[in-house]
Amino acid sequence: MTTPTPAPPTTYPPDAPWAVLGDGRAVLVGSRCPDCGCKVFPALESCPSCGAASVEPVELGPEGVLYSRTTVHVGRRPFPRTYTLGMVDLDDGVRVTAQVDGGHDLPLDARVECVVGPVSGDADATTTSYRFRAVTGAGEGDARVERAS
Amino acid sequence: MTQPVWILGTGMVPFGKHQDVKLELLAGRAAREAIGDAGVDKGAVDEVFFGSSYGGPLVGQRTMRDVGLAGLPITNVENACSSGATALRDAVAAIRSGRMRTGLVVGADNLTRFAGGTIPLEATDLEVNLGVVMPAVYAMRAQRYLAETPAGPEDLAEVSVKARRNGADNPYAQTRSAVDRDEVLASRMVADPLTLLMCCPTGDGAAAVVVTGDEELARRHGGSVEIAASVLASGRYNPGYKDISVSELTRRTAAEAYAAAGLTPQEVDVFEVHDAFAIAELMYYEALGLCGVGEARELLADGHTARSGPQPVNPGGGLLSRGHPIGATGLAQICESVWQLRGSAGPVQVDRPARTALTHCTGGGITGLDHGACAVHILVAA
Repeated sequence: MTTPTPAPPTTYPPDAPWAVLGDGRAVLVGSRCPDCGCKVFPALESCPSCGAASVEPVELGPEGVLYSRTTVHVGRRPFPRTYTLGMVDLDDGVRVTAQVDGGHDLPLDARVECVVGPVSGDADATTTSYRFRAVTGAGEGDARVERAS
Repeated sequence: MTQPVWILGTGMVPFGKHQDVKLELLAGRAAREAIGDAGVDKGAVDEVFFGSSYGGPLVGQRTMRDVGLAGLPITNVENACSSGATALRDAVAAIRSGRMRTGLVVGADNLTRFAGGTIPLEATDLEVNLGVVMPAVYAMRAQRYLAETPAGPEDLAEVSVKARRNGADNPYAQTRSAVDRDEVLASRMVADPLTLLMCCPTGDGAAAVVVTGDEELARRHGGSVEIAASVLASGRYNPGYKDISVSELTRRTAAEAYAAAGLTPQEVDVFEVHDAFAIAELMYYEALGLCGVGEARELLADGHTARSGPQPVNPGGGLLSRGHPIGATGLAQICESVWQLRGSAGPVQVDRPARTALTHCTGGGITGLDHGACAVHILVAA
């Protein structure tokens, strides 16, 4: 008989897998395998690549490249009728899909950065999550040093 | 030697909006028709495999109760757009294992239950909660494909034009009218560059087949078709960068199917391809080996894949005309391919003699995967 594995100390995936930096931009919190280096987002509790039993948190972003995007015109509640989705290749080597501000005007391969803002809901109840916008130059200083707790 | 498996009988209801008919009834009609077409008594059925994505708990039992087959082993299969094809693969495996001699495979879904719009995806999925819907998944592929190949929106429109022209003749199709390129491009935008007429209609439908490993039954029937390959794969989890203008999952699944059947792509006479959105057909020409990367638009423009061409793709109009009641699609493709190989496809029969057919369905949108599942079958006239 084997001993059951104890429950992980935190919820997986975490409820708000991001951290807002001092300059207003955000990094995504994924996981990184200490054995093979595989980085994933959202975070997992083990490595899907090499099978290592434990992984460590890793900050991803805030900048990346807009790999593709489309403006959805058939949004249903709680989403707006029209919004833009994009696939973003974060500079750390991880791809994520999220809403993009003004994305229909951004060319493919544009530089974008992560922020936190509304993604669905209405005036009464808004859901906030990570999203992307064209780079603003906010990251000229060393954002990670100024990072808010 | 591998135990051969034959399709004996087919059954299908016309796809469309059937709000007034229960799913069990649609599925039951297809099932009874398949048993009748197989020329066997329903007592010959050893097991039932039922593919459905939104049919709910025990949809197979709910249907078989009314068909008079309750009591048999019934396996319910959910695998997104490949649910019906996955059920068929399980039936083939059950025959090859020696466990079952003759089986009934049914695929059915009714999307009118959702009152229009895009199909609901897994509510707990991270990206679904950011607004990802299936048209957007294909639209982002299309954006990248159009950026990396000579194809443009007018080529996407031509896919729909071919599908609707073929579907206009198909009594089983949900939409039965031809459209021209300008109409397709001018229809309302769903997710750019995909307009409404570049998206398959949602509706209700059911299709079924009877399969057997009994050579005597197959020989006596006269219209049996052998299943030369039955392959299923799932998308690989790749958290990093990948080229989405190439369908790795379809390419991988098809390669295994060609190898199993001992055929090259050029030796397949007719194809049923998962054209849920117009971009998909172009990408799948390339992934199925009909042409090289970026060459799909020429293949289409040359008429190579027209019903009158050397390798027709979706001669009955595909998903863009037939509609896509998720779990039914894989078996609808099988039914229409069997009819092509029998030469009984009537108004949608391909011009040149067809001895081999390939069916391909793939889909499902969850974070991190190209697609949830892909199933490819290759059929050979017996």
